[in-house]
Amino acid sequence: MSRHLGERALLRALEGASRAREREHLASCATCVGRRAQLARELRRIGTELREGPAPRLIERPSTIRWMPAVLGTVAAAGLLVWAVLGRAPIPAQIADAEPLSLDNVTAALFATDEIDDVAQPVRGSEFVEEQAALRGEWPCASTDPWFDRDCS
Amino acid sequence: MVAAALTMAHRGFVDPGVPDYNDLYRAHHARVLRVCRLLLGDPDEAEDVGQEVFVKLFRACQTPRPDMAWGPWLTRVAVHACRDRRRSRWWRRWWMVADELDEGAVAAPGRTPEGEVLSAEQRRRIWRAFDRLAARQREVFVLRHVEGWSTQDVADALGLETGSVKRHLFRAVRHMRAALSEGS
Repeated sequence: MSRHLGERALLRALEGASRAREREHLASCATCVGRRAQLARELRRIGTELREGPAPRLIERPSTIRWMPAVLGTVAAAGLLVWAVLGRAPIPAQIADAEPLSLDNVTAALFATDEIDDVAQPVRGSEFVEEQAALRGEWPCASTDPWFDRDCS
Repeated sequence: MVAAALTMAHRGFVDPGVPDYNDLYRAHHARVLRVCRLLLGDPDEAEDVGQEVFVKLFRACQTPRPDMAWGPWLTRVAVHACRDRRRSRWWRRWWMVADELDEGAVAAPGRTPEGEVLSAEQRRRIWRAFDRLAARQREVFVLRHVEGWSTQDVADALGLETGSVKRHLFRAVRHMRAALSEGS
């Protein structure tokens, strides 16, 4: 095998879980044996430092990237609230002073008879016989043949 | 109940079948605190979680468990307690960022098992890289390369597949090595 072992294979070798081809390669490649020893040394070094070295305290600070959107959102929400409370158009005085609508007002408006005479007037003249008769409660062409009576066509 | 039992233990009323809490405390306290410190990154939180772990140990000591391997048990309890603590403090980790080290602690050079001198800069790089590991990678790396457990034991303790432990371990090792070899 001409290619050297990768880092993952070296780690496997260190764990004692090499594959057959990797073991064969290690048996014949001084470079990879050296790299494996180097990996083992580095891991021991790191492990010792983490186990025995004085652990430094981490300095924490608020993350700007994280708190900035939260602050902007709060400011926008506060702005909307202020606009909703103070910026709304004032209610006109006549509407503000009006009495509240009751059911009696609605009934009176729906069944008003003041303008019934205006409605009963013919709209386009006396030639509209059906309209006038209908308003009187009659049907003028009921007894005549509409074919010969032009008014009943 | 715990206080009463503690008083009895201090007075020497210890059942011979029951493990001696004080011995276990002396043997494992510093190591467990160290594991908590590594997993949480905060000495105060590590101290809190360490106390929780030893309260659990004290309760566990009330019943005889002749075959119990207390060292690995304590480590497992500590790892899980740290994980719970991290979960409950998610908002703090989200809100705060810890990207600087208190340089005073790593200002002096250290010594490796081979007697080589580890420069202050290398030590700083190790701690910084370790701090940037993902939580799971950190757990796996600590149990395997700081506590010296086997991959199988790590998998059992963390409730993971062996393959998953190897993947996390490989990523952690690559990250740590890259940090150590920076600039050398």
